[in-house]
Amino acid sequence: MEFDELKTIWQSHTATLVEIGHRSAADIGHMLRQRSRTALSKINRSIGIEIGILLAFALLSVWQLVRQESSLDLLAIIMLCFVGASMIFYSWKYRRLNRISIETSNLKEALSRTTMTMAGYMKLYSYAGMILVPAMGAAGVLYGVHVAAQDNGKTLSELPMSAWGIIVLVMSIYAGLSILFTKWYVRKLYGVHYDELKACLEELQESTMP
Amino acid sequence: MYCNQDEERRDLFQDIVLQLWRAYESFKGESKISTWMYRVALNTAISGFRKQKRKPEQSRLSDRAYEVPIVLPDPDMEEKRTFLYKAIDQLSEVEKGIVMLHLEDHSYEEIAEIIGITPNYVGVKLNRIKQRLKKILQPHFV
Repeated sequence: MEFDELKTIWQSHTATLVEIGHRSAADIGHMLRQRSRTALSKINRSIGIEIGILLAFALLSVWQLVRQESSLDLLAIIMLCFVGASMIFYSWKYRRLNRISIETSNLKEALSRTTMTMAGYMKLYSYAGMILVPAMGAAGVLYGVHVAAQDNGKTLSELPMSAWGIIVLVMSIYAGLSILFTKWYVRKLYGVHYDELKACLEELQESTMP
Repeated sequence: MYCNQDEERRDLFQDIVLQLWRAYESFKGESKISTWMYRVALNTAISGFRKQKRKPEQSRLSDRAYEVPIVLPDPDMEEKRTFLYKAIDQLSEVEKGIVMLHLEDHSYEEIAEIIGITPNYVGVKLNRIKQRLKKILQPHFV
């Protein structure tokens, strides 16, 4: 078996493929008007939807504060704080993610930059999830306890130590579970792809190793 | 080579066209336009962040992938083409790119420019790839 024979087979096949795969200018124009179907574009679109939902919550909270119905004011303020923190996180996330653009440099440089950006993005995603989700959970639990205490004619400071023990335990379990979930989720979303790109890069870096 | 199914192939083709269109402004004429196009296409195919599908052997092409609706005039050649595709499919993503460029008659220098390694290392990689392909294909290419 000679390699030239493989070249002949390959080239005769690709020549036919080029022939049948020929696209007219109109076809190309149609393609350019379509949305990119890469997962990156899909994530960008879902970030847009998530930001839309957050803004809806923010408007709802502002409306609640304007209505001046004091029983729900605290919840509206908590919600606004959460939306604000989340918006900061989302804008970071969006900027990080969009640094992963298709590179026009050579494959090795492109892989190096993409893996570096992805690692940073994954770290940011993990930290934000590990802080925001437990914080929001804790705020929710405290608000629930506050409302329940009010219904019984008490304030938070009047709750017995045993009740605080249970509250702290619930918050700790929730925080632990949400941290584990965030780690698993980030790994599931980006882990496989990141590992594959890293493996490709390592293969190319062999050439520069002593 | 980088897609399992027709739909994925169409998506990849569309994305390559889109990326070429978007990146065209960055083409400064420092290399041949074909080299630049290969760079963008290969970067899109390898690092373009496609959605992962859970499959037993993710990077392997399914049998359907070889069913390109083309019949070469020589049935023997057609069979050899199928074996060649299956053999290339057993290589890593990077090796697939290198061998494809070599099969399309690009020089070591051009391959080095597209991949980002030295021409010498292209030679080393190609030697290894040829050895592997020879081992896989020898029984079918008598």
